[in-house]
Amino acid sequence: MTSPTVLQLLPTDIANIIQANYTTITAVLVLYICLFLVLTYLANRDRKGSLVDYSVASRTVGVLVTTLTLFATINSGVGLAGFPGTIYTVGAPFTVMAITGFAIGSGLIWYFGRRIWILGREYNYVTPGDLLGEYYQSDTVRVYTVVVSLLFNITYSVAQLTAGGILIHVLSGGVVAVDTGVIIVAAVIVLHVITTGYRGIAWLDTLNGAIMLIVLSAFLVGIYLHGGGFSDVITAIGDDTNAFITVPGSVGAFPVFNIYGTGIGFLTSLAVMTPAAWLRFYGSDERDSFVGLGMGILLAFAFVNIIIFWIGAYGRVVFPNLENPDFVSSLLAFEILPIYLAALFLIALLAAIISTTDSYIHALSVTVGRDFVRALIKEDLSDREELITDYLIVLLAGVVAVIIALNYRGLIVPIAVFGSGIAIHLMPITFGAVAWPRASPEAAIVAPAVGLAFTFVWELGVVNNPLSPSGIRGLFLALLLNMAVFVAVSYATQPASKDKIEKFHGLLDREL
Amino acid sequence: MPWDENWRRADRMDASELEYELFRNKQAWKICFYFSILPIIHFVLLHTVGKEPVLIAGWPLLLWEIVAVALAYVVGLYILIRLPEKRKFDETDQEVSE
Repeated sequence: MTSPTVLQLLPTDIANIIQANYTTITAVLVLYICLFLVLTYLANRDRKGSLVDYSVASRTVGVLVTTLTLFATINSGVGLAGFPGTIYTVGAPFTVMAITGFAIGSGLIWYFGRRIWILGREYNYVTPGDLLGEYYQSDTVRVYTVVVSLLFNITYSVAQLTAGGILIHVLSGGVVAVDTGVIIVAAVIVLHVITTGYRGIAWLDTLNGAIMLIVLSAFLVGIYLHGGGFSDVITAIGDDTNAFITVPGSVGAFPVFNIYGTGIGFLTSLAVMTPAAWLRFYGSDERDSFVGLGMGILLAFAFVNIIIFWIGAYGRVVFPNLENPDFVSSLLAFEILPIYLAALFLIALLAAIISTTDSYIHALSVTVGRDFVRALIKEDLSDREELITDYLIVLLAGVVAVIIALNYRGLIVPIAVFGSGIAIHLMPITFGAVAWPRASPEAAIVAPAVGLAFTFVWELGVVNNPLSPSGIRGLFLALLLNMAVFVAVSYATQPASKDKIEKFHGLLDREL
Repeated sequence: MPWDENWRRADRMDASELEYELFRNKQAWKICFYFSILPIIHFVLLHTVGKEPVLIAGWPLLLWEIVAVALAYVVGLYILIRLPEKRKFDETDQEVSE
């Protein structure tokens, strides 16, 4: 397999700028690596070496760090490179979709987050499977959470590693090959996760989240100054302006139903139902954090997505004929920002990739270690043995992700989208466990299976979903189907045992 | 751990015996109401202002609309937080809880 020579793919002017300012770019990179190592050292110094410390930082993470770690985890390289590229192609409706997804997600963070937190603290839960498996007394439900974790975390990590390899290639001025870059990024992440656990990940994410917010703010100012005002940017788009700023967008891809379907199925899922989001809920230090966390996530993503809209819009003005729109944010950075800020943008991109991958590989290790190995394979595992198992899973996940990234690169994007669509199928059964005592174990077993099966069939194009002509995405329709089956089967069967209802809903009733 | 013992459970409670019906209904209706009313407003706006190619202060109307909706969600979230969540026990509930 040959590595793409990214620098040669870049426009000559930009490639020359990168080559000419190699020293500045390297200096910014070295500065970031120094900060990275300092945080790793501090987090490693504070670690307690226990399982709960590795999994959820002993439940001591404050609201600001929780908000920024969730923000940085969600806002992957896809967010900083792929989203501007998509806006470049489809226009403002994509921004509406993004903010719709996070607006709904922010309310659900508040609603689900504190309930999950209360139950986690009281009964020492650290994974989605802990809570759901116990409430429904079902190993099948535990297995669902493991399947969701494996599919989601591995596919997303692979997509991030691939982007990381390309970025290392660019940052090194073409000296480091893309494949080598993939291995370097994976090795750094595996070492960071094993040596610091969730505390180190949260601290690093806080740094990375702050870098992303600073660089994107600079971007907005740069676009305003360079473009001569926002009106001029929009009108300079030319003949396509009207389609660009209205529904359903430039290529007609985002009618209203797709805005909702993709927003809820894709982004709400990322914010609320992924195993990494659950770990952040468990890791919070107090229940009241979830007011700030919900609002913080909404405001941060509303702010970021509006800036990303302007990057995509102005990118279309400056580079009207890009072959690969995913490069638009990087190209625009070197076009309109001072070189040190443009270099910082590339670092922010790397930071986003690292933050997402370390969080997902960590979440994968915790969920597989607890809900598969300890719950189903070896029940008498001690906490110490489970911790060592988690380390081994991190190592194994890193190796597997690298192998897939190096060999099956072309398949990654559709699988990653599918992966994020499946996590949402935990939402109905979570609602049952924390808010709806009528929910039954049979429903918790049947409904996600139906939802996952139809997500697979419709999203991967095995069969077109019946409502696709009206713009409704298969992953959203599958979620509705999951919810309908969950309610219907719950009413047709008996609810969970009374002691479990008292243990879960009784506690929540007293606490809230 | 037996595999899905609930499949074989014979002694489950009848739903009507559960003491959490009131709690369940209140929670379910409340969340359904607040999380559905805002998307409906958003949906209507998308079907109306979302189709007008208008700029306000240089920003597309669609962008203003989503900013307004995002702020509406913040307000909605705040209202939801302010609502009393503690269940008002009636006498029967108190006897049960005691």
